[in-house]
Amino acid sequence: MNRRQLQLLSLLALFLVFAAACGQKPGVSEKIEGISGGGTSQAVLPAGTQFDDQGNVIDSQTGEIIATADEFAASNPDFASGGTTSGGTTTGGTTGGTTGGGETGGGETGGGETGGGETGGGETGSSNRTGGDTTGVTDDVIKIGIHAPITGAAPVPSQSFDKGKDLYWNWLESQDITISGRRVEVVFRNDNYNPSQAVTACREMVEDEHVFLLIGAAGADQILACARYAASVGVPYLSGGVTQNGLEGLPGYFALWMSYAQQGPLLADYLVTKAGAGNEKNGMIYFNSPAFTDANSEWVDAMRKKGASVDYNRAISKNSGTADAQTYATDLRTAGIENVYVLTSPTFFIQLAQAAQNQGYHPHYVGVGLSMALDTVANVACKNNASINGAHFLNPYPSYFDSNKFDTNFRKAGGTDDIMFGLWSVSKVLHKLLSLPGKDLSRERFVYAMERAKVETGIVPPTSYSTSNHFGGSSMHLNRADCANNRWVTEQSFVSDF
Amino acid sequence: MRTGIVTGVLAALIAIVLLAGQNVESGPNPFVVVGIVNGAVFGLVALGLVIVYKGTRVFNFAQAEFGTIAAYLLFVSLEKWDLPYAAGVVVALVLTVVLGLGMERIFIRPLLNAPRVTLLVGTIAMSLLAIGLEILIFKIEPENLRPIISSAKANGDPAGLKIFDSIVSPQSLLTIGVLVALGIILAYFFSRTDLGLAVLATSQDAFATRVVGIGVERMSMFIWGSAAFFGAVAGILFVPTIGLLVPGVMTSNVLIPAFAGAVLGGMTSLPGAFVGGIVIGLVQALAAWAGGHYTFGVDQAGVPEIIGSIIPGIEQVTVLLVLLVVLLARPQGLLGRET
Repeated sequence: MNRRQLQLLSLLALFLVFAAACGQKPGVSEKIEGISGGGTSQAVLPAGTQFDDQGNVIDSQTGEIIATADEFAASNPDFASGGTTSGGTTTGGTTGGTTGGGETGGGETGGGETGGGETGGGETGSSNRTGGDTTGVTDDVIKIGIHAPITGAAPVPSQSFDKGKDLYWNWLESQDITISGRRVEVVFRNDNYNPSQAVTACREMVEDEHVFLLIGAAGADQILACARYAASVGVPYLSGGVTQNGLEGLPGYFALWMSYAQQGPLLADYLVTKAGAGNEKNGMIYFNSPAFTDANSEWVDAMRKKGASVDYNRAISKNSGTADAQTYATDLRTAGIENVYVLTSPTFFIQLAQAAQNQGYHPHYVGVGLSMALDTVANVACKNNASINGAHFLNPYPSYFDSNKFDTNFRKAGGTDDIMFGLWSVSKVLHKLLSLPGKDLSRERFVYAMERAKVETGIVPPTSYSTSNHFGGSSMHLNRADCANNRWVTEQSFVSDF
Repeated sequence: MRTGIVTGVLAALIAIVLLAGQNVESGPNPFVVVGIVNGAVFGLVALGLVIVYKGTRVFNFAQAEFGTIAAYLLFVSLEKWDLPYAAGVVVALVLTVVLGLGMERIFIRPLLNAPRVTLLVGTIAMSLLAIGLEILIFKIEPENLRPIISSAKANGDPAGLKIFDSIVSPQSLLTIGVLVALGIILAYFFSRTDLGLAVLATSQDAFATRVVGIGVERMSMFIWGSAAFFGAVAGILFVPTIGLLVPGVMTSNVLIPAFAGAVLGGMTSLPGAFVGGIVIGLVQALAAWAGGHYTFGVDQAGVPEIIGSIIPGIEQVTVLLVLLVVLLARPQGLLGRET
């Protein structure tokens, strides 16, 4: 190595040392993601806070006013002043100017009227107690967006989604019930069981439809993809409990019931306590997806802690088809597995059950989630010589057959199947949640209220959230496949242990 | 040379069966049977692909969808029109062939003199159109098409033949039988009959064929009608065994392995399609079995990790590897001939 090369090397080393020294500090990237992801204010507010219609802070238990709206705004300027950015549109935003959010604010419905415009800085020039991102909220409408895989994964009737998405809200309107004077308008998109299409659908609902929040109805990978997108643009995102991988820590994400990982120990408890799995061979077959790995590890751990064996544990390709169903049914049969935890698409589950049936193999199928326990799945699989008879799946809402025991209004409102009942149940939860922030609804206030919310509807199991826990479910329903009638029935409700 | 290859392939198949059979702890390996049963369906669809390719030099991406259409027609015949099964099968076969002829007249014939890649794109369009129409007419709700012979006895026990500790359903046995019969008939047809030779001649030189008095249009009709028939047979036999009839079910489940089988066997060889389909089925099944029975290293909890978890979709990967190796060594496929 000559002198010139040595000089060059020294310079390069010096540059690298400087580069390393000037690098990001720990946590900077997370901070940037949290804030620039839409620029939403990440105000930290005292626990137990809830708002009334006037924006006063009240005790959630007693209803007493803890602080007036002005006091609250003064002590929480970030939260109260709005001025957040969502999808490139400044909403709300009153910083004391004479026009406040009225003219500069948020797009169509954001700060213009409800936000900082009139109530906030617009006329009074004071801090804005009602600011924040109010995209999707007008004086009389809250617009929300839902995505679900109508095609690609589960055999579901599309007209059930079309009708079911509005069923609860139409019924509410017929009863002259509003959410602080507003009705709810639902935008629905099919994500085709494809994460990239899910993001496209969510982006469209946010950017074109200007929805207030997003809901993922089913499909772990799609929910994961959309929740990340929603976090990046500061839109609250709610979904059924799926994975926790990648969703934990997203500021605006909340699971409406137990995640797959949380349901793992509950399912293990059921298997050992009720199904005699402690003395049997047990196995799990699941799609190879990051969204399912936590479910797998939690269930395997729980089974082993309970002294039950896991004799078969296999991740399979998400593209598995009929030939693979034949193969894996043979694999499970030759391994002698008596209880099979299936975490795949319902379509593959039906094919697996049929393949097993063809071989005279009838294991006890168990699982979590909601799409497996749809009546359309039972209807098809049961016709294959009752291939799934007696299967047990934890479900966030009761079977359609039992719906009247939980809410008589559902059928009176025109509900005719379990998909509609699921959407009715979620809508009912959402009704409670949207009511929490009071009249001055903004994305920030909604997230804030969610982090202190305790919700009970009598259908979906109760949930309780906190700033550190956005996965607030603690119980589920247990549904059983009744192939004599080609449907699911609810065997136990609101179970948190067996 | 050709006899040698055939002998080699058959010897390799027998070796696979015997070796895989001996590796399993508890007797013969049932995955061999699973592979052959699956492979029979791939082979059946591959036959249709090869016929179109022999006649037009085009990969027919709509081939599998003929099967879905036939399955839906059979379903409607049985469940809506209450026809007996045999009559339903005839209705489904006839209407699917008519549909195939209609597609040929509307989409293929105007493109007969177009570049082959244009025709190929045309078949993709036909497939997508068919799936769209299925969704429009039958919706996306799944249906259940019952088999010709039930897979369960009256007492609920499985019907069928027990081979290598694996129960082969009557419907699957029928599929294998039909595949063998059709393979023999087609091989005879293309090598011994004037019509078969005319089809081959058309594919090689349409102008010269026309000069000697053979109607190229009629040959095209025959090819597409036959392709629709073979697709329909595959759909009618296969769909009842999987328990799920949804739009596009044959394309999404069978087309790719059938293509792999046809290419592996040699796109111009009917016996090749037969053998290729079976080989693909066997490779898939045995790869899945191996993926679940051999371990490599340990996971975070110290539990031995199966290869199937390290390589997700090991069966698809293995199929593509086998295809790659065969085509590198013999680009015209196992039994294909440069024509």
